[in-house]
Amino acid sequence: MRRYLLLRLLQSLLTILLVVMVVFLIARIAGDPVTLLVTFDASQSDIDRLKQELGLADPLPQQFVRFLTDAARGDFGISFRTNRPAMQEVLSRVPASAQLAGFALLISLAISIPLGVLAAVTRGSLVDVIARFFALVGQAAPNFWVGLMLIFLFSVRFGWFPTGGRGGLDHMFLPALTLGTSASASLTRLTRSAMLDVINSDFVTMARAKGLPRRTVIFKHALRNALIPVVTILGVRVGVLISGSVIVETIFAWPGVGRLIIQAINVSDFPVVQAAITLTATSIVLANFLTDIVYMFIDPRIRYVRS
Amino acid sequence: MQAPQTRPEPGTRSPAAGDSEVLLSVRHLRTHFFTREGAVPAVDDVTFTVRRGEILGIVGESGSGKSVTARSIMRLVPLPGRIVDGDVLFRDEDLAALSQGEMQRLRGAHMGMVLQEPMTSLNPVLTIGNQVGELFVYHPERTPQGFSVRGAVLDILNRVRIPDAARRLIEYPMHFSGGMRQRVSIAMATGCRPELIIADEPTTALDVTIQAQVLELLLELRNTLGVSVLFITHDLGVVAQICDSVAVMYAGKIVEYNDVESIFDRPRHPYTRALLRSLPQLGTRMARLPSIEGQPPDLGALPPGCAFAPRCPSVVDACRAQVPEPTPLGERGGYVRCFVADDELQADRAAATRSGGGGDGR
Amino acid sequence: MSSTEVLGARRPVVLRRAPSPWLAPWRFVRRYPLFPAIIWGAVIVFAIASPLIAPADPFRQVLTDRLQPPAWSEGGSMKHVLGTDHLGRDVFSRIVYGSRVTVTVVLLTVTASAATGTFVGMLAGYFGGTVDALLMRAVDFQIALPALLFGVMLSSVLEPGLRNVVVIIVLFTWASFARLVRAEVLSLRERDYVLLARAAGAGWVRIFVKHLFPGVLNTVMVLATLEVSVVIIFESSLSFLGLGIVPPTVSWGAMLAEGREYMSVAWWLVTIPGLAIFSVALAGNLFGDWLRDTLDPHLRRSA
Repeated sequence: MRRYLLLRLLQSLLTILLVVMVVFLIARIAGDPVTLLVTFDASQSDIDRLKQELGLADPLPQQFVRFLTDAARGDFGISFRTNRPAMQEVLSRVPASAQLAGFALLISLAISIPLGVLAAVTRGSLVDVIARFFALVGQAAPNFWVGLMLIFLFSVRFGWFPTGGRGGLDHMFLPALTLGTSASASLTRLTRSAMLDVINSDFVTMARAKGLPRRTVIFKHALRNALIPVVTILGVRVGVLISGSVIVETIFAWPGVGRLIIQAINVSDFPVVQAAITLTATSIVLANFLTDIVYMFIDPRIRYVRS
Repeated sequence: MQAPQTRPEPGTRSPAAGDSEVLLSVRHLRTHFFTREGAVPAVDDVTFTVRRGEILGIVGESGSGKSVTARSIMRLVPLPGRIVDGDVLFRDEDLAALSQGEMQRLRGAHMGMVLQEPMTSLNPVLTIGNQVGELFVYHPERTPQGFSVRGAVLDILNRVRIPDAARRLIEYPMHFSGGMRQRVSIAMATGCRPELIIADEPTTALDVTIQAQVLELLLELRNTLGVSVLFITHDLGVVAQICDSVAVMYAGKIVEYNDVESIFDRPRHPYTRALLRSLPQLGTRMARLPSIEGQPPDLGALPPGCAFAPRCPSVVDACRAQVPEPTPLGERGGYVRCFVADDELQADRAAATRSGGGGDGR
Repeated sequence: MSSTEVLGARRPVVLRRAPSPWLAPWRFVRRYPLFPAIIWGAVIVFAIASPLIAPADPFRQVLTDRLQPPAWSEGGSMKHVLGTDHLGRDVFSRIVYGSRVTVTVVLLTVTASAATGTFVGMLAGYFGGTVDALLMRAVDFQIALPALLFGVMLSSVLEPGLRNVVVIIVLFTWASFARLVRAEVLSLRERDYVLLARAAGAGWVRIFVKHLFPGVLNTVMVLATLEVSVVIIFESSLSFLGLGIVPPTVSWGAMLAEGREYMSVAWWLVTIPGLAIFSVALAGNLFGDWLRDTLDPHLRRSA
């Protein structure tokens, strides 16, 4: 068990390292950052001097190492827009994003797991058809369209919800619903098919043959096993969800990291873009690592078998 | 002239020796699967009886309906299957008429089940102690007197000869070998001292040596607990070892039903004979093991008449025209479904009468 | 067929619950790919014959006609079947021309992604060892990266436009093909015909092309169809954010972005392009599922 965890931890760290490298390289593609910092009438020597100061004249690997060591300390430079440390800008938005993403995940799970279980257990019923329909449609609907449609219907037309901004439950509901749609759809599909597989397995028959009450058979025996593949997928879906926040936060004017990324991109505020993307990608990698841990706890087979 | 003999209706009495009371009486059971292509009669007019302490073997190829029969008795027939006709009388209740809720009361407590595949019969994420203990948690009234749940679990695990049971309570199924897992399944099936165990090919997936141990275990449980066993298998060799009576199934019907000695010494149905012929015999030399020609039939597209006719070495025209009805065998409820066997029986009877009467009519 | 009619059953068999009346139409939809065929057919025809189908020039601004609702709404007319946008441009024509972008992006991306991924998967699966380990590391890495995030970052440093969008999306979709193909190849390479070919001295190129490729083709096709929805949502998301295909080129995602401002007075500017994107994506999923069911019945899960 420990070896497995250690291996996964090392893999995660390596991935984070690669992430930082990719972020670094992408920003370099953008061209010379110096030209963005100087005024029109700067002379070549001014430019060269600035380059030296910023360390941009050094060979690339050296620049990367410096970038890496700075990043490890949380130093991503100063935001072009606000002149505050880039990482600080990003960190100040984290609570809002975390709140929205957390709520979205909660809603997704609250919808998809019961729906998937019910659909599997009452196969062929209306609930089953609804679940399958939802799974199909939910994954094909682009979240920016869903968000805008929801705003139009429920905020503009019916006035039930505010059209944007951060706030309490009424502000969070539509964006969380939008953010969680795709995850809900795929989780429903997965829960349903996992439950169907498990329900037909021998040990569930044996559980029924022991005369256990239906509820016990479904939850203690069937669901517990069916959730294993679902948890495995959950890590991936969390990543997609966080990615989607870039769009959803923009549409609903939710002041989170995703919205910050778009704003920063629009004004070419690279330090902030780098900081935000690095932080977000890192948290996704860590979230995946966490799901591995959870997975290990719920499936004893992983605990004892060497990976 | 012989006095008219009153025989029981075929199958309503157990042909096995002994006089214990009847425990399970299945009459004219029909279970059909309603698929998109139509209704498939997986179990078609099946009648047999099991007494207390009796081990009945149900033999047949895959698709013969033996597993579905077992599941029907437990009322665990998977969709799209449904019992459409017949009675399943168990301890004075017709199981076919009970609701799932009522069946739940009986399962585990009065009837237990063991399945074929030890690798998938146990829940992989629960400990052995948890899974076996459930039985006692949900059937407290059937827990042996004075035992705690843990005590009862240890007791039954010891009974099925799991070594070092106390230490293994917290282990998971993956720590157990196939034979051990089958023992655990048997423990779960017998923990509450049920009257009936239904074993669906419990030894098919095991090595021969482990198989022998499991069979011995079942016999012992029958002897100590007085439990009856419905033993489903395709292996006549196993049947010879532990069964008291045998029902041979083909295409959803029981084609021959009798006590085990009669089945082996005087098989009447061509299918039974063919099955026996295909057993390897010690001491004889054969170039090839005889096998039955042809394939098991498609239950959804059965020919009119006897389902075995296309493959039967003794087939006559009558076989293809009509489905044979059960003809009694012996005095004790055995029967055979075969026109050819009917003729043979008549000839035997005639010969017996000619040679001085008093024949046993078999 | 009613179960009570069978064999004159003594006991009427009451099904615990009747299957929902919606089950049959659902099954029908899943079994016959009518909807995907129509949608994709329409989109392809739009793309090829845009000048013939579009009633108006998609770039023509008629400011007096701005924000006209669709024909069936109050105030709408057949002159602009799906209404006009804030600059008086005909929405239907823009949808028709926008399909060109959609079709081009999808075709180029899916082909490139499938080709790259398949090749990598074959290399990894066939050669195994270090090659496999290295390539799979790359695959795992790509899959672990949040696609839209990095896609957004990448497209912000590259110029917007068709070529870059295709490159970016391919970068984030090739790995699913690689993983799938590798798994297939792992089992295929032990098959007799492959072993025979190797024994006969065939080089790996020949084996890839003649033996492995036909074996993986089915799975690749299924995945490719399913990836269409991923691709189109990715592209339209980027375009929506102003980073993918941007004006003056007509793309459905950009139409949504432009229409967003006027949504409260002109719902069709957001609903209709979104519906177009959704339909193509949905058709892709339906088609992919159907393809999977048809090509490999034992893979068939009830979905």
